Amino acid sequence: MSRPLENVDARAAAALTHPLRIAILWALEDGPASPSELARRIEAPLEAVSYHVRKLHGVGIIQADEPVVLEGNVRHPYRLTVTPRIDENAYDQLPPAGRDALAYAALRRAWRAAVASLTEGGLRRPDAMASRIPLPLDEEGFREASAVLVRTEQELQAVGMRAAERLEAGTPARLDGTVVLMLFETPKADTARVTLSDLYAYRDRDSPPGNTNAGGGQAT
Amino acid sequence: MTKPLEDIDARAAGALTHPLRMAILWALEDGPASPSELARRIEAPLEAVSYHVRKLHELGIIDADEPEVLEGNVRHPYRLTLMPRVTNDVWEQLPPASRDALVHATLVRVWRAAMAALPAGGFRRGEVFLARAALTLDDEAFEAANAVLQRTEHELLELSAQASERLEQSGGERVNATSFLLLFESSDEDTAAPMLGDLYAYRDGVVTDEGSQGTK
Repeated sequence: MSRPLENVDARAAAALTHPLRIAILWALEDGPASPSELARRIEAPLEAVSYHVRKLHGVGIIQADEPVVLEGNVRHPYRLTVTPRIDENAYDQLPPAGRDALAYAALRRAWRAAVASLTEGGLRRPDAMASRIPLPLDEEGFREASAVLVRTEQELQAVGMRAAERLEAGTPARLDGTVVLMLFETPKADTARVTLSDLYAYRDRDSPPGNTNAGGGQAT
Repeated sequence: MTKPLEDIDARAAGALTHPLRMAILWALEDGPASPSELARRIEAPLEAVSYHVRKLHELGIIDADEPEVLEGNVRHPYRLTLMPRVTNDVWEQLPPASRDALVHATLVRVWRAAMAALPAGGFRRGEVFLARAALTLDDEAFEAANAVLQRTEHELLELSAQASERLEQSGGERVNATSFLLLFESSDEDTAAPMLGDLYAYRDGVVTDEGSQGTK
């Protein structure tokens, strides 16, 4: 059951004041999980996870499912009631350092997902895409570009819904896709330089594609 | 002077078959440069850089500016005439290993750009956009998603052209932006799991150069 997004902005902002809450919400995007499952998943202490799960439950962003008895243990799974979107307003309410931290974590997450896919050949499909677009803009153009990406994400969700209907009817084979959309300001192009060895690095690396230890999930 | 995107597909394929050519084009995105400046910048031998600069010039992807005399030396700067885009047709022509290498280099480039942008406040505007979504698809939907992203790309380039016009006519503040659109088959691995460490890492000043990982 999802509610209109407008209702959750303020609550989303409250939820995002703590990194652990963000981690919990992101983990729940992949499906319901109990506090102890969450703690394992995001590598955080159970006590802190339980505390923030209760808080998130309190503001109504997550809800408790029926307890499940599994091998004698009672499991208390929670699920997202809404997809907490960090919209412009919620983002603006965060302190600058909070915005940076959130952006960094989101970038790392996108990076890990992309590199894991790359090593498994998930980017070889002719209709896969990795398009970096340098965009000289002005203030107005930046706002417009942001609006284009908001709409793009909605269109992609609609594409997914239509696929879900076809899949329910049972004919086509299911494919799990990931889409990443980014728009940010690049004040200093110079520091982003890429040398020739960077370009050869992937071709020349010791481990062939298929080896998953290629750049992704190493801890910081 | 930029030319219509459609004209350059075949030439872009030529340009992108060699990593050094791609490195040259990327370096020229930051402004005109001479072969020796390029060689320093991308850390490649001058002779090879000069050769590929000539080839790119022949393909019409880069233009020679007027030579300049600087401290007794003649400098021959080149500039991009257009930014070669990898279209679906070009993409399909590339061997799989080249696709992987190109994607990896692109990821590295984006990662570096993002890490340079972060401390400079590049992620602080409310309109910054950073979304990752898992989609349940089939073949038809994958193609449809690709079409959506192609259109988005064209719209973004169009917005950039309009912004340039506005800036030329009435001045105003230029905002340098980067957009990145990615669509891929998800890995089975749970790689996208959020880790609390990541959320604290930036605050604590622990930032990795992802680009240097996964190489020997």
